[in-house]
Parts: sequence; C-alpha cells; structure tokens
Amino acid sequence: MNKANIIGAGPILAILATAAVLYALYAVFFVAPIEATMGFVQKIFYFHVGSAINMMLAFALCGVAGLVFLVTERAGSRVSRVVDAIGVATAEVGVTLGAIVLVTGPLWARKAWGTWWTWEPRLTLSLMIFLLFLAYLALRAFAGSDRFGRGVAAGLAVIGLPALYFIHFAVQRWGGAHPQVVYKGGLNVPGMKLAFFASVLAMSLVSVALIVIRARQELNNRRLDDLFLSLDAGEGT
Amino acid sequence: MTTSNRIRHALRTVASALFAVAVLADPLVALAQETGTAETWKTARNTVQGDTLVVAAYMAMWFIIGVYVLSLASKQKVQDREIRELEKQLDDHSAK
Repeated sequence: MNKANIIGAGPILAILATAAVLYALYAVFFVAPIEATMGFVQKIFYFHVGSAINMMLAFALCGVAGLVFLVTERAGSRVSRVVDAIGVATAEVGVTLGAIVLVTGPLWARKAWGTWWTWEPRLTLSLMIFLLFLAYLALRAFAGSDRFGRGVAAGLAVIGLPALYFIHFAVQRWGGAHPQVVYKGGLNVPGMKLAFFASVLAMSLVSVALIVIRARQELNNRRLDDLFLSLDAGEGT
Repeated sequence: MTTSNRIRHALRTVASALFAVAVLADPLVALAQETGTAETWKTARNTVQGDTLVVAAYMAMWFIIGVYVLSLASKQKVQDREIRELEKQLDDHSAK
C-alpha cells in the first residue's frame, strides 16, 4: 500500500471504528454482567482502560516520531515532514484520549474509592504526561512553521517517553489503589472479557482513524505553505 | 549489567524514592486490598449502583470525541477550499 492509499484509508477506518464502537457498547451494557463489589459503575472501566491504553500508545508514537524528526530534520528530508505530521496527530489524539481518561476515571473513583481524585502514582503520572503533551501542542501552535519551534516540541515529546514507562509500571512498582485486574488474571468472566477486549479494539480503531485523518491535514498544511510560496515566487517574477 | 538495564534501574530507583512516602501513606491502598477490587472482578447478583456516574462518564467521553471530530471536519473543509483556490490561482498565473 503506498502513502496515498494509507492517507485515503481515513474514511474506511472511521466506518470500521464506528461499527466497533457500537459492538463494544452492546458488549459493555448487554453482555458483561454487573460486578459484585463496585456495581454498575464498573462499566465505566471498559472504555476508560481502552482510552488509557491508546493514550499511552499515541504518546509513545509521538515520542518516537519526535526522535526521528530530530535525527532527520537537518537533512530536510521528506521523512521529517511525515514524522512531524505523525507527531502532531498522535499528540492531539493522545491529549483527546487523555481528557477522556481524566474525566471518566474520577467519575468511577467517586463510587469505588469514595473520592474524585487521589495523588496515587498512576493518576499523578497520567496527569503529568497529559500536561506535558498539552504543552507540546501549545508550543506547536505558537511555533507555526518555525523549524526551531518544531525541534523544541519534538524534544519535549521525547522527554515524555520515560514517563510512559513509569505510568505502565507505576502500580506494580509502587502499589497504589489502581486496579490491575488484567495483569493479575482477574478478568475471568467471559462477558467481562469480551466487553473489555471489544472496548480496547474499538478505541484503537477510533485512535488510528483520527491519527490518519489529522496527519493528512498536517501534510496538507505543508502543501498549502508550498503553494503560497510558489504563488509568491510566481508573482515576484 | 548492560547500559539500558543500568538506566532502567536508575530510573526505577529515583521514581520509587519519589512516590514511596505518598503511596505508603495512602489509605486507599488499604481499602483496595481489603475489598480485593485491585486484583479481581466478580459477578454480582442484582446490584445496580452509580448509574448517574456511568451516564455522565459515557456522555462526557462521546462529547470530547465529538468535539474533536467536528473540529477536524471543519478544519478539513477550510483546508480543501484553500488548496482548491490556491491551485486555481497558480494555474491562472502559469497560463498568463
């Protein structure tokens, strides 16, 4: 599949994502049984975890894209344009998913823990990484097409990579009240398992579709810049 | 020990020191261990709790995604129009 085909895959992915989301919602509310201790509120977790996993993957991809951008940018190669577009797209989608995680998590915690928020390791690190990539987007918005600004933003994304490692291992290393049901093998009820994996798959497809569409827009922004320059040069002659 | 293992070990040590006091002092850790919700989920008979919170969570989630999708769609519309106009101007200019 060439690049044009990958970019054109956005609408197909969007249709697939919509179908997967509808199936996941059906599985969460009509297949998965109600959990004994937490009750109905546990149903928040299916999409909360799906969003959290994809947020981490999006931020990780943004960090890697930032690293590749810093390496390839000086040569002014075509690769740096593509990874730059991927960087912006993954950061934006990651922040969107992060907002979902940070809104749905406290709503669950209010019932399960009796508090909206606690400075537990995974929560604290998730908030930190969310703010870091929010800063990345703010920097990109102010930098515009400035090379230096893009480079600093890419550096910021690379700094986020170790933090992602800590979020993943936070509960195992330092405890905390965050559930580790999947890692500890406690997700044994078939209906719950189906709802969980359907939600993760649905959110993955939503994320990929949004990243592809946003990356395409970023590449088109560069195309617009080129067109302006060509027109400007043409009028100058 | 390889360099990557040394870096990993150093990062873990620093972060452990940062969080150890906060986590050990957290009463929620004891609550999670007591109820067992941190390690396993079981099926209930007929309990329905926190339905308002579930509705709020799902509405908030789709609101956030909806706003983002709409912003992408409007951006796309403006961008497509700008590209069309510029290409037309460039064609007109080269025709002259």
